[in-house]
Amino acid sequence: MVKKRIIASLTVKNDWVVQSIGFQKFLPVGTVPVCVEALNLWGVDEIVILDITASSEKRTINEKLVQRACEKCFVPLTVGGGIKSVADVNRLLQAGADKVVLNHAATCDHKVITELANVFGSQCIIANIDVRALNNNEYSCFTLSNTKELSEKPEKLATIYAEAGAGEILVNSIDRDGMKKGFDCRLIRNIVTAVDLPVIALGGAGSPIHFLELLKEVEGVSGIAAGNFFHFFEHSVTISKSILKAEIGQKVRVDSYADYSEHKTDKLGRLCRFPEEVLLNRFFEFYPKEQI
Amino acid sequence: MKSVIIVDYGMGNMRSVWNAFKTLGAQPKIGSDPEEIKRSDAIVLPGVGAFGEAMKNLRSQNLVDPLRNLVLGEGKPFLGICLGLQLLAEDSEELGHHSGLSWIKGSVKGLPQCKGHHVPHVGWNVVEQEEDSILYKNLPAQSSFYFDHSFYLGSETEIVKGRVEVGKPVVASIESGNVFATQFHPEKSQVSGLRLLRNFLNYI
Repeated sequence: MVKKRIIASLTVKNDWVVQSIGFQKFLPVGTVPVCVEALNLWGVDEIVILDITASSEKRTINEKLVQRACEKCFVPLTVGGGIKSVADVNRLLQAGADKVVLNHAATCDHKVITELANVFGSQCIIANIDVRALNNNEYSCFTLSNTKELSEKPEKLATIYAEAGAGEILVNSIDRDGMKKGFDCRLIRNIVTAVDLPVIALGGAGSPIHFLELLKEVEGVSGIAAGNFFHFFEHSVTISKSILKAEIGQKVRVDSYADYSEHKTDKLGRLCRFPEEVLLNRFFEFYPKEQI
Repeated sequence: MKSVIIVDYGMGNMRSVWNAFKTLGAQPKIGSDPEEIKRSDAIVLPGVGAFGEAMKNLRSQNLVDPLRNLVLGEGKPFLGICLGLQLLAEDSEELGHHSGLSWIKGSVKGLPQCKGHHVPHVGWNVVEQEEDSILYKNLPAQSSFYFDHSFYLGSETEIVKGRVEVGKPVVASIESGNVFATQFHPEKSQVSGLRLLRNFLNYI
């Protein structure tokens, strides 16, 4: 069976990876190649790079950046930002990307998804929906970095994209972005039920427990993405995967030498210290260097 | 330093394969000139896209005969990736009927629609390895690799060295003398994939 994917999403602004809070505040994290290399070494299953200002500045994500990011990336790489034509996708795939994310172009005209899927195949096209929860318990879709509201409801938009030929749906909760409160399980469940496509959830991860929470609440979710969490939580990928493996077993991919299955974790998903006698026994244990 | 030529026939990105071999310390090149292919220690045939289009490109670039002579005649090590595996078959039913390179027995068929399994088959999946395989040497038994395909090679001979479960077990990799091929993308399968490519380089 296909494994549940743990995906790192890099928010890029002016060619720098930034920490994004509610689509409004941005703090610098580092350069794209360095972040990609680190995440790849930590054993993440996929990497998504999203240039959040490309559409509003009427340009496409920098393909030189994609090319440099690719050099140390041995997992599937997805890129997004201002993509709207066959030529754009072609250039980015040549630079080394495997899939592309469409947002603004798809909201303007759904046919662009069909056009691109016919040339590159559905598996190459991911449709992105940015959703904000309104006060009356309803949801609404936005585009252009949360500035333009769309008339369609999220489930409706996901169905339209699926019919147009998208291969996956990436759902991003705007109000959860950078809040570390956990994923919007109700929203994700609505989308998963509405479409027969792999759905990726993004926005809100603040601890490994949130991944587990979403997987338990919405079994059908195919990928779980996080941005800030992976940058600021120590050994984030490996610890998250170990916690998931203890609960859902073979459904998650753990290929790393590092293994936290013996560790206890607190309710925030942080590692607890080993008891003193275990640490003493560990004193002279030999750990071989990982060889490829 | 071992030189590896990545055959460029206009199907998909060669860059990731190039990066992977470069990281492993080999000398990768991207090209389609038969003379250049002849000078290299090994041939890699990657590929993403449709079967018919790929065969058309191989024919129009006059690569079919040189590849056959070098690999099957002279025994140059060969690695096919994804579409590069399917092209070795006799024929394919992808978007019509197309004949392939016919290096191995078997034909390419569409993946079956099974409950709980999406088509296309995209994502990480465990490969059931055969014990005498060269590519999976020193790899843990439950290693996962990254798949991305809608069609598979229907072959049930002893050259099949890896299988993957997509509702039923289908071919994940083959090994036959100096010909190796994988349905998954080793260049996108992180440590497991790099180890597999390292095994291929060690074979050269």
